[in-house]
Amino acid sequence: MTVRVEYTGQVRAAAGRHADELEVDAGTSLGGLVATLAALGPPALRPHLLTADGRIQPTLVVVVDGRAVPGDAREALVIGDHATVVLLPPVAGG
Amino acid sequence: MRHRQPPVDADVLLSPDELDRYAWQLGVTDLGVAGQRRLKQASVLVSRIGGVGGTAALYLAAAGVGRLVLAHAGPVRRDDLNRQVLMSTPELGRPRIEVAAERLAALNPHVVVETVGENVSEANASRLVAGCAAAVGAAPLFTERLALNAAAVSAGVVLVDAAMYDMEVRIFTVVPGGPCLACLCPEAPPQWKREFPVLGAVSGVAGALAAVEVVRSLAGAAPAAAGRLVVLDVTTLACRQVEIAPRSGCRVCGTRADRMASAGDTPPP
Repeated sequence: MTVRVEYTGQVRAAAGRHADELEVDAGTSLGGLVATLAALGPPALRPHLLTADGRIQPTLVVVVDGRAVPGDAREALVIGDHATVVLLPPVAGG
Repeated sequence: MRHRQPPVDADVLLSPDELDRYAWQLGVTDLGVAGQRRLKQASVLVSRIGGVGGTAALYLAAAGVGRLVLAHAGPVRRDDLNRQVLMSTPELGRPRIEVAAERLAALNPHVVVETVGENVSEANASRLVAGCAAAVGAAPLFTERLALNAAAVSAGVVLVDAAMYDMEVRIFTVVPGGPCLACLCPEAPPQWKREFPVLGAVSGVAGALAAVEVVRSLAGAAPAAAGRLVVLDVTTLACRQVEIAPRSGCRVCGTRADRMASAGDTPPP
């Protein structure tokens, strides 16, 4: 299935692009998707997406089809076909 | 979420000079004379007077907020001047907070400007928000933003967290009963870098939006970004609005039972 991932803030800068269209297996979880992004992207992208033990960064807001996914549901959430996932890292430019 | 309409103190009246000064904004949606009087009797803390906070302070002073508390440590530097519109070249090296106070006083002598030559921290945040109806969080470090968040939630103060990065502006407003900044960002992210790409006009947009949120809140309107992360990409003008739910067990705004459960304690019966 196809998933669109949109990057913002420092994640966009680390990824070097605004968005990706990915082909992933049906039944892919959000945790699995983010791990895939970290693995495929530049090395600088990984710490923005994952903790040292491979979980989604707790400070990363993840929006799936327009809705922010609560922290305790994120790792296991199954992504649907043609979903749009937006990654919003924390920003403090002042 | 609760948004209380602040009462108008019957003794707070607008002088002829003020009525003239604010004549062009008295007809603005959600303001009016009553709203203008609410602005006059209100106090607002601005955390950091940089590109975002300085712009917010400028427009809050112009709008007639009665008292501004400006918190910032450090001098004016040359590399501030692409975005810090309260500063100018002859003031290089002077304490930034002094320059800001002078500029705002010249703009609007009706505004009481108090300066604090410190950045917000866990040690001073509660003292700084005391007596304020609203605060603007515009610090470049999450430790400061989160300290202000905790103090604002504890005091029931509306907090407009305004930030930017490159060509992106973010606004998130904390109101009593709603999710707080710690729900969005539970800890200071180690991957955040203190230096960030910034065009002055973009930080200006963030500061101006923060000022609008504060003015409307003080005047009695519900803030547009209450419980909602607003993300504006200025290269396309695309604007996302993401509803943020309170984080279960938030150590700042969660219920006492939630906080105790999160800490592994047993809530009382």
